[in-house]
Amino acid sequence: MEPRQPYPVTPPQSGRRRGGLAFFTSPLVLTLLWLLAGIGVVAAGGGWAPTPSKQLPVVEFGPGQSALVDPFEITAVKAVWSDSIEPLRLNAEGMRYILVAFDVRNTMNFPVGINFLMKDKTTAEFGALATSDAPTPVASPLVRVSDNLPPNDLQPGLTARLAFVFEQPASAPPPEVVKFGLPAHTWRLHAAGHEWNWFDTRIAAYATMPVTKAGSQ
Amino acid sequence: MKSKLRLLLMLALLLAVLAAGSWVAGHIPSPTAVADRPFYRRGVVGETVEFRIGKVTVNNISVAKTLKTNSEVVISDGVLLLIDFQFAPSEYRQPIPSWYLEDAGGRLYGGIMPATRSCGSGQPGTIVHCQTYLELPPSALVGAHLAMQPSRQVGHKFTARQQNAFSGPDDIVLIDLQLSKGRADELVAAAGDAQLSPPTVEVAS
Repeated sequence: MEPRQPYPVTPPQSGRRRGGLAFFTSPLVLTLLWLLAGIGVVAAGGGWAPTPSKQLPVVEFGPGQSALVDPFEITAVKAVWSDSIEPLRLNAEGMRYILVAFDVRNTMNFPVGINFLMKDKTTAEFGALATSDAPTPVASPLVRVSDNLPPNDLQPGLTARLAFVFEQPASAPPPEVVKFGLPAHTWRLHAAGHEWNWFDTRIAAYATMPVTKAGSQ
Repeated sequence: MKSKLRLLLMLALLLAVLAAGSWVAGHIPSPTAVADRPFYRRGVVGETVEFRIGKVTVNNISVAKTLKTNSEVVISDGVLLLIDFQFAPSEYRQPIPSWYLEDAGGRLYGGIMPATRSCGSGQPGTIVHCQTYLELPPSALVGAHLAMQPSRQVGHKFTARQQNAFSGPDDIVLIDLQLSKGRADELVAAAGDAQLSPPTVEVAS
């Protein structure tokens, strides 16, 4: 009597199939290959994270024109200089003051801290003045034109007229033009996922305005 | 050949199931979202509403164009909504509740106003009368609700978990200001100069 086979015997396959193709057709390897292919497709499309793949355009605008500088819509109003600004108690002897005014509207659906988003993040170039003559921001450089108070949270849909205030020695020639860089921001979840906030600050627009003597127009 | 086809079908099915699972998972509220959902206590102007830390009553609202505070004059490019309310803490000393306004379109107004004055805290057994204000565009008044919640840091940095910067897993008193278009227009037309009243405290009877 023949001994009983413990297991059914499968016919032997060719050596090539066992060693090569069989490896690639095993469910585990096939699954891994599918996953790798998926990762490759996603990576080719820029990956999972939203990355700013394109250089965002920088808008240039002038007096009376508007630009969308997230989260604000900003309209350039005018730039003037004066030897004193009494409502702000800026009247130091030997100094000159420059105001650069904008109308700013909050485009979000919640209050936005404009001082927080603008302070120290704007740029200002006053033509070809020497470095020692170039205007510098005063101690509280951003004010509401309506009541001379520092702005805090700008409410949704509300347009406020704001002025950036600079000073320079009166002995220096007054600036003739200002090129003002305005920062845009993105409201998004922190990369660590723990809070929403404003990120990705970058200069998104330049407002160029002539600087005239206050009261001359 | 058949087994290969079966394997491919199995993989396709697996991917389909994974995709469907991801879609379903994306539509299930997270535990955080459920835990953070506020409890609304609704009322109208003149009605006392009880919430976690005490009772609050919005007694009156009015609209001004300019507002004198302690030493400053706020002149708005929009309007200033003045809110008179009283707060009686229930058990412990409590800071005056924070407030914000939600308009008919879901936009939120609040945070730090140009000139601020604190109404301080309330002690149990007392009623604090407080007047405050919010700067708004006139269009925000129609259909607006005033929300008041246990005090928290509401500043320029909104620590929103999601889009709604103010919501949280706490009681929120929601007062319907009952402002129709006609009533809102009346208030705006009558807006003039106002003075912000200082807070006062009375002993609860």
